[in-house]
Amino acid sequence: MTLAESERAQVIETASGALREHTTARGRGGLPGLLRALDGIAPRGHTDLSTSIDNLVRRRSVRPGMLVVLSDFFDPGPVLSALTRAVSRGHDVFLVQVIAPEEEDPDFDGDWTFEDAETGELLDLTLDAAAIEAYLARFAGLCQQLRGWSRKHGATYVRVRTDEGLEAPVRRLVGRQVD
Amino acid sequence: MELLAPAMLGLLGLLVPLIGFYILKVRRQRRRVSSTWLWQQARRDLMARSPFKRLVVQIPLILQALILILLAIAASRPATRGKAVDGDHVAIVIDTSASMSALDPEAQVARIELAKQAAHAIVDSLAPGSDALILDAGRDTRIALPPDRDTRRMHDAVDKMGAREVEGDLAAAVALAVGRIGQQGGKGRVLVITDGNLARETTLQSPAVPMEVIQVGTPIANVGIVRVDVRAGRDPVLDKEQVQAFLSVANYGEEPREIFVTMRQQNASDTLASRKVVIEPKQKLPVVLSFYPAEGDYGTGLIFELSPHDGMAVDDRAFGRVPASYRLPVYFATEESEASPWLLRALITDDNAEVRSGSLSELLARPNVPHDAFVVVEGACPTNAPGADLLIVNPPGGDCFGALVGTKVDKPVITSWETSDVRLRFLTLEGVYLGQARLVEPVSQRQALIRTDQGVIAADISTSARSGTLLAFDVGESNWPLKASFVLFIRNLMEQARRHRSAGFTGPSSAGAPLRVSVPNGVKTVDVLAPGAPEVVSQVARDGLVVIPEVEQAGLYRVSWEEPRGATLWLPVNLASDDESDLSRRLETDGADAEVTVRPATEAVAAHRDWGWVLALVALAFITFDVWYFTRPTKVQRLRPRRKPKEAAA
Repeated sequence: MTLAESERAQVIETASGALREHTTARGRGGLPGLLRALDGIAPRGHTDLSTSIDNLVRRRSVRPGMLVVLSDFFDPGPVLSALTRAVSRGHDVFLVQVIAPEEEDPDFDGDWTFEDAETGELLDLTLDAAAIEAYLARFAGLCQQLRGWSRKHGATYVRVRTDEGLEAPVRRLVGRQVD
Repeated sequence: MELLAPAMLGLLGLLVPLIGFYILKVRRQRRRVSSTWLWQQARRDLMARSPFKRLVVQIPLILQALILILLAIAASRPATRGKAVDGDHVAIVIDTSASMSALDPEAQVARIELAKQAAHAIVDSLAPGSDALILDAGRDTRIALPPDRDTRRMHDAVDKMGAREVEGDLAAAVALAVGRIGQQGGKGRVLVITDGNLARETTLQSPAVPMEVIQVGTPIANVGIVRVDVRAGRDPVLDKEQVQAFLSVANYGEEPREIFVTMRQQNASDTLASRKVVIEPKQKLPVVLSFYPAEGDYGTGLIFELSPHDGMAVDDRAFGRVPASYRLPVYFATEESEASPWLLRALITDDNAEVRSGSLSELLARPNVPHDAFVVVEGACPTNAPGADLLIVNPPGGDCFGALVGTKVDKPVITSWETSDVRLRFLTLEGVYLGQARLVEPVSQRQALIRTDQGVIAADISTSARSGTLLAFDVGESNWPLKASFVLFIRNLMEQARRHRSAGFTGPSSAGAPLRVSVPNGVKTVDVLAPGAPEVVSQVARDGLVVIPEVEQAGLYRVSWEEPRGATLWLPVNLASDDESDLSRRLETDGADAEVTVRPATEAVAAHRDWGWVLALVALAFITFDVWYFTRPTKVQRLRPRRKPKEAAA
């Protein structure tokens, strides 16, 4: 939709605190390059989302525009503070929280060792009803934080499940909804 | 509240492994997740380096610990007292000996009634499903009710019980109860209800089955007749025949007692003799009462009585029988034309004998020959000879009371005689020569009395009903009458007859023991009338002996028969028991080492209501809750994308 309006669009991926900027695309002709850039993204390393956002918005070359952040926001850093600073620099912030179904509705119980995909950290857990309750409370708290921040700063917040079709989230995004 | 099985509290030791399960590491499955950040914040237990982790108080742990504690306490059988008699099989032994007939001074009812009240209370307290065996512990143990679960039948069996006038044998009843209960599976229990006056040295011990003794009644200062003996004697002053009754009267109280002791004949109100005596506490006093009997008094019943009466009536009376005359009736019958003068002379030398002689036919036809007479028959062996002890002299050949009398032999030489037999005691047959004699084949060689070089010439022909002696030779054809040993022999026979006569038709009879009565040989059946009984009971006589098994009441028993010659006997039966009359004794109550619990009936029967099942139910509820807790669905509001109503509509 951006390229159709002859606007510039750029994919910036961040991992381990570093930014990787893909070539800026403009117009309908830039779509293949943009799609190739998106296809080339692979999850790797550890992400410090707040530092990455700060690094991005502090650049002088970056003019205020539409800043779409796609993340699961499972980040212990001050992400919301960084986003606030982005808003103060004139960015129109869209938050797209991408989550797996089991992150919203854990369907396993018993004794588990969880391995963090980013850090490789191991965590032993006994998933009984109380543990899942506590996790879901934390998860709901995170979502509530994102939702509250979005409402406060006129941002858009859409939560997307990986088993969900794209149309509905895109509709909500375009409609600037706060999930 | 007490624990019937406190050892089961050892199950609490299972708390250790239970807690161990909570602090030991578990083997976990591995899963890769996008981030553990949220999980870290929500985690309940994190892996630590040490094999143990900090014990976190969790609901499952609390539940499981509570379940374990409850089950351990339930297994230890917590119980409260006084509600229900526990036990799957209960034996109730009720003492029905004579002392249980005593009137309790506090309750003003007989001890047996108190025992029955206690038994009814036990029956009412039986746990549901329990069966009870009820035993009547008199001298012999009777099963009043075989194991039964019907409480109505239990109450009926208890109601039918009564005190018997017998010495009790509680040990036999307890042994039977323990044996019966021990044979059955499950939990057994023996409850003994007694007044503690145990007639025999009874050790109430039951290592196999729990036993409890419930003691009824309070001590009573009793006075009773504990011994009685009636004999025929002679008044040395008047030189007159006299009946002498020897009584032993005991005072078991703490105070001296002034007592009147009287003697009267049955069916007569006039007193034959009486004495006023003072008996010191805890002492026995011999009392002698006497009277001069008339001709018709012999064999009649005597009643001895103490007055005033006290709490136990059965030992305030005793019974006796006027013994036969001191003079021994002797009937000498002969088949010959003339009686042997030698025999007749030997018989009449006894001053205390009344000797009558005549022909055998006269003897057999005489209706009034006493049953205890000494009968001598010469020249015949009549099997239906009346009287008691019998001497047959010079019988003809053939069977004679089992012994076979054979042919005559000339000049047999006496070689030996049975010196151990009372009839040949203190005499010698040396120098005795016989002209002729018949050889005898006794039933067994042990019955041979005099042996010659040619065979036995004298034998014992006693039967179960009478004592008999056979001399198979004519004493006139020997020089024996000229010897002192002949007189001694006849005297020995008469003394033996006198002893048998004084013993009467039966030995000393105690209530509760079978009564053995000697009757004439031809008697087939006798009629027995117990004291106070409405009708007679027939008993079969065999070989001159009648056994009356049911003698559980003191008093005078009438035994009569019609054939072959009608006669009536009065047989006294007495309690005469030191142990039953001593109503001051008590069983020792609870000792620390006692295996058997003894408690008065006024205290609650050691009945228990087991509360283990309640705790087990609570534990089951906890288990159910624990299972539900682990398997419940998580009730957390799931996060779903919120949509504004308008957008949702669009």
